[in-house]
Amino acid sequence: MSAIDVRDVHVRYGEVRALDGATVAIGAGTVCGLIGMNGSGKSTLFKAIMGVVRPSRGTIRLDGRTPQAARRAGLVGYVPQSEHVDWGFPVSVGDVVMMGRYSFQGFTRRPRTADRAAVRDALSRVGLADLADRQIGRLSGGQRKRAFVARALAQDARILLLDEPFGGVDQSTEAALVELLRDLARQGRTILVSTHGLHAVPELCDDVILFLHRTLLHAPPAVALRPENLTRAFGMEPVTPSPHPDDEV
Amino acid sequence: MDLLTWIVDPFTYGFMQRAFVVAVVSAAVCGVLSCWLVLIGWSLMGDAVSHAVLPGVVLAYVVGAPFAVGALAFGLLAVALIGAVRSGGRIKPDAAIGVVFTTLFALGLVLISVVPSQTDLGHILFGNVLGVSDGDVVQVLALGGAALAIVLLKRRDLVLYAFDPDHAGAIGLNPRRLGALLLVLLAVTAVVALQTVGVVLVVALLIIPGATARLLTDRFPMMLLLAPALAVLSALTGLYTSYYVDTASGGMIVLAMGGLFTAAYLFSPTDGVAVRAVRRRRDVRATSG
Repeated sequence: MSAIDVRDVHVRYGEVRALDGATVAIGAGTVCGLIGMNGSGKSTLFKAIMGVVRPSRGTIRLDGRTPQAARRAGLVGYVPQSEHVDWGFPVSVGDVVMMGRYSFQGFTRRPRTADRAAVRDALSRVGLADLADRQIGRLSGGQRKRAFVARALAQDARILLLDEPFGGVDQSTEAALVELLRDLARQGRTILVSTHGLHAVPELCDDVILFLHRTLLHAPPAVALRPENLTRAFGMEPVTPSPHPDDEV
Repeated sequence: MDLLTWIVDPFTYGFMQRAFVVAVVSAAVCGVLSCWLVLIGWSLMGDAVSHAVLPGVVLAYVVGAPFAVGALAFGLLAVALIGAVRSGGRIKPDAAIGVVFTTLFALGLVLISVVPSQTDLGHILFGNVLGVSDGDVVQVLALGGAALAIVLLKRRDLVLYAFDPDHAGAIGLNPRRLGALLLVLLAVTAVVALQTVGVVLVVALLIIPGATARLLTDRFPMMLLLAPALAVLSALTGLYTSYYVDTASGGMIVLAMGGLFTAAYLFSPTDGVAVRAVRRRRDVRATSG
């Protein structure tokens, strides 16, 4: 059984078709790259998996459950795109990670001992234990991503969705993030990473989905990153083949 | 006159006692809610809801109902209408807000001109905290207390909603319901503040305390203490000044808030404009000397 099982899902925003018969199957404990240009429906696919957007057609199962049941169980953790986060917001790193514990807490979400322990563990897991009290915007690009990964860990999410995690992140922090995600996959977590930069894909991903409103190709990175295949996803003439496709494709 | 007499003297009058209760309670409630409004960016929404209650207040006086009932009804109506107008997607949110609240405000003005009553337009528009009745005090205490209790009990959910509504959705909370809750609280709070500063200046109470507190701290729990404290301080300053110098009380309260904001803007230890300028000059001198 696939951890993420999306079948023939359609989502429309008015006249715009965001998802048009999307079918995606991702096995447990794997890291899958979701590659497509801006406006290809990657974020909508994430929202459909999170249960925030309801498809007009098709079915979604996460570890065999409906998105609504998965939401209630806290199965899906979400790491938002940097541009969608208000980094000036007056919350600390620890506060953000504690937000992963809400589904374990009561009516007023008062943190209990177990919650504090889970937050501490998650923070040390991603190497931010010393920065728990820092305001979230005062972290570096890579630390910000890891803080949100820690939130998903505190939530004990089995499925992690990362939206453009490599935007504004330099090479060495990128490597650290790749290592962390590989490690989490080894523990059986399923990770779906959307990106339009291709740099980290070969080291990070077990397989790759080229996406344009639906799955164009689902293959290992070596196959998916061939220029003739990328051309289909990005909808342009083949560029000069190069061994390391550029981030700005 | 010694200081104690100076402080206690206003309280020898019943109308001043009521004014203090209403002003302090409404300032505290508005101060707490303002923390969320400035972080989400709902200033215009606050302005809209507070103006839109005008027809409700007039109609309540006409039929002899408590003013809060009419005001709350129209505050919620405004919220619903704004949601409906923007949901089509063709009208942008700020335009939807602009259309709805000016129309409702205009309806209020027309109602006042045609309805024969003792309602004084000036009192509704600019507040009349020195003239509140015992009944008004009860309404303010009940609504303000309820709003304060709900917002404090649900504060962590509301912070999550303001910071990351998608995550709220992903863990099974309902972001739309949390947004709606915050809008209802906004409407209730606007009604609470109505008598202190009037329809036109309610938005000041809903925004300035939170904005000032934001300049002073990076911690939300600290904002939640500072904003109402600053608001209450302004309310007291405004009332005493208006008592001793005989100035408009609503205007005086907001002016005090504006003064505190200016002080924070200039002298906040971390972000103050003047503080940073001094620090720059000192750095320049240190490097050149």
